Amino acid sequence: MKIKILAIIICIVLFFMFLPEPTLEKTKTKSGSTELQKNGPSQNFIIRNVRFYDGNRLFNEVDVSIVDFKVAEISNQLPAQKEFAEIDGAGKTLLPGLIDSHTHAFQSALEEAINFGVTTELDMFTMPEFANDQQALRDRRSNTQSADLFSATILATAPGGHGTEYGFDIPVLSTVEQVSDFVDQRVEQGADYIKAVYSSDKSKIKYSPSISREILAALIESSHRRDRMLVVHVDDLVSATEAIELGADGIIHSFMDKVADQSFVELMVSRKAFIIPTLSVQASVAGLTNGTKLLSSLANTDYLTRQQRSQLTASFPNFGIPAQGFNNALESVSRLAKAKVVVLAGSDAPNPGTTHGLSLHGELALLSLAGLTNEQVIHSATGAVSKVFPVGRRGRIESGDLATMVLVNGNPFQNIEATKDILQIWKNGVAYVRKTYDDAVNPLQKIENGLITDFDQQEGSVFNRVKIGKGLAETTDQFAGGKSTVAISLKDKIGSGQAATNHYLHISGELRSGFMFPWSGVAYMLGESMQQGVELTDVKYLVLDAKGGSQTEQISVLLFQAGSLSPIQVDVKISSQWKNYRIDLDEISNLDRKNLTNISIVRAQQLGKFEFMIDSLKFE
Amino acid sequence: MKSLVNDKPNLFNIFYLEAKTETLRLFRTPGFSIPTLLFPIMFYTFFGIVFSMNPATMPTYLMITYAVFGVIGPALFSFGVGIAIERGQGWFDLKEVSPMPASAYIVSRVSLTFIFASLIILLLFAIGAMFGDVRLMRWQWIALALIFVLGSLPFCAIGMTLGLYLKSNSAPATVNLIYLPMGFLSGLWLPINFLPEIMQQFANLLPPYHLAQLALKITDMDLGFPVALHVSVLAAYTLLFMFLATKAYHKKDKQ
Repeated sequence: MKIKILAIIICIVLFFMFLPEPTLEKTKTKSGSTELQKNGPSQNFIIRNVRFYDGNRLFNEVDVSIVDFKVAEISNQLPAQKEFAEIDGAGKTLLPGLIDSHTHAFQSALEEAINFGVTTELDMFTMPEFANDQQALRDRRSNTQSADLFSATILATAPGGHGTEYGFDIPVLSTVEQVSDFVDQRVEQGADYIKAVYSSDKSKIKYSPSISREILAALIESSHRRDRMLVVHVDDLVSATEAIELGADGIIHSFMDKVADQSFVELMVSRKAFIIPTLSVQASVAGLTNGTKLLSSLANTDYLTRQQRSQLTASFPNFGIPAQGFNNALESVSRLAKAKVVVLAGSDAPNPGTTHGLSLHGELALLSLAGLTNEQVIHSATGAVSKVFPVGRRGRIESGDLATMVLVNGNPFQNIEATKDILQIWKNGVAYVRKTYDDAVNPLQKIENGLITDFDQQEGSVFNRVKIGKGLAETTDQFAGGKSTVAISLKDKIGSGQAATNHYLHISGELRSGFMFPWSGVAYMLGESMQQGVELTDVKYLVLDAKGGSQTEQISVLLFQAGSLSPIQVDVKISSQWKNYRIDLDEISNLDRKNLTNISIVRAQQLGKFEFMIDSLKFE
Repeated sequence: MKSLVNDKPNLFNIFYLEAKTETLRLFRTPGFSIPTLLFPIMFYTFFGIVFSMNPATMPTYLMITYAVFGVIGPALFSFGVGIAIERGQGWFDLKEVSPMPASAYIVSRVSLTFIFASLIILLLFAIGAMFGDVRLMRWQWIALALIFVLGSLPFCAIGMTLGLYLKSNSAPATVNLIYLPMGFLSGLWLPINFLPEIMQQFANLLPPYHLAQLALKITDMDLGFPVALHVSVLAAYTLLFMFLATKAYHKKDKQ
């Protein structure tokens, strides 16, 4: 009997030993080092004589006490409390945790956001799988290491419209009948609001196919029936006007084709509609390098990952929008703000030229440049958001709220740049230690010059015959949902006499439509992963021999920087004879040679069959 | 000396034998063991894993609420239905006149409930971990198991009262009528915030709701009310029904 009971107890103990535990991810970061962070304010503390903005109103020189993770009292003079840490707030400003009203959140977006005091992100298109995981966390007090997420999940767009170019297989709208089910599905998948992409039939330039006016009207009606707001991505004034006339709650992007006219301003006022201008990304679309400027304005870039830094310096392909377009956008925002239309700060990170967290500060500076007062600007990333979006108490600090706030040095109400000078971030009452990503902690492999491959090495498969880097691989747009094909083989140079030892790489295939940017060819993998590449600073030229097939006269070299899916493209004209080509890396603008992940040699864009050959790849 | 010692009844042995025979009896009554073991497992697999609305949190949340559902089942049935039927058959009276202390009767049934509860918990944990990707810290797993096992006590008291009041032929139906709706209204089948506001308010009156909230606190998925509230409601229910059970027991004696 005793043995039986003992056996059962042992079984139960073993059972509990085998129950799975969560795997803890260890981040390769150094913890921050400012005095305030080291001492990590205890859970009860008082910030004294601080300039304090509660999301709606500004108070000069008040004391704010935090008890049990919540804001307890805000008063002119609080008595000292035993065992309360005291923080001197003189010359500093306490703001609610900032809200970025337009991002695309995936991967480490929300950790990057909180690292710059952005404690809430309103996502405007991501995959529901990511959104749902994060939405489940946002009402937990324990969620102190990343920003809270609200999400539109999948956006509403037309077949082939904006939003489909990223290669995700998303539902699209082509008839009014589909709308109601589409909205129901979004709501069931956890959409906090619905986002649509619309371009009017009257638009002068259509960048991609758009849903019809009738579909937009049905979307607005269905969204409101399900108690969700509808926000609309627009590229021009006429589309914006139609969207608001149809009853949309707000528009995204301050269009650049024209300045908002008086009738549009009046329409926005009468409909109580809001605008998220996303000036950061508009500047980037217009070819301005504001992301690079933002990066260089930082005294310390260690709070950004390498990937974020390359996002900031990345640029869009040329859309043919003049820089003047950006001035139109600024002027429109100025007019709308003067008429008291609600303007919300949104960065549209991580589009080229923007990144999560930091770019919201860039957006604040641009809104200030547009002529908003600094108080309006800070309101647009705090209290104004909670008046419009269903984000609960976020963006405000009142007595009884969980202390989610940012202490900055200086006075952003005089100088907007001060928002970047972050002294301390608290999320749900817990002091957040900013993560630093020092290059020295984790240096990348530096590539030396030399022969990469002449394909003559006897051993290994065709893909392993490289002396530098990781190897070769087939690459096509199938990776992004396209349909192009490729075949790679080793062939011998005819007439060389030493056929067996003089190989070259033969690449053929067909570019088929299916992805916006069709490509097919061979990828030369340099780095460990999509996030971690290699340093190519000592390399000046990429050298290769190449020869075209019967009709192939041009190939493209795509240079991928870590974390970026949009490569830098260099076109090379080739002929039906073997020739030597030298690509001068110095001449490629915007190329950050510090972190390259792969160099692909492909046929790109022109549809149809192709054939080309390469040999003797070298770095010089 | 030796005989004197042996003449003293060994209390532990009585408890053990009574519990063992009762357990055997119950395992040999498929009408009890199969539904109490199968229902929570089946529902959990169905709602929590196969048709999970949110694979990130739902398997964990529902594993906890179905474990609560699972452990209150044996408590209500072994006490409620068991006692009522034994009273009907006269078995209860026979036990009363036997030299066995009354405590053995209660202890055996409580341990029976614990054994069944543990079985259900182990099965649900195994299913959650294997098929629902539930990942919890070691202390969370253990704390949950302890809360569930001990949390069946208030329901033992409720079951005992029911068993002493109900007639033997109506007991199974009545207990089911209390068990199933109470489980649903306490948010054990679906997360409580899926229910209308008014029903959520009503759940405050139901003990399974408080047990579930207590357990959900371990994984930080509760609605955020203080532990003391949940514990005191459960304690109040236990005391109230123990009092009612005693009253019923003495009333029965006078008849």
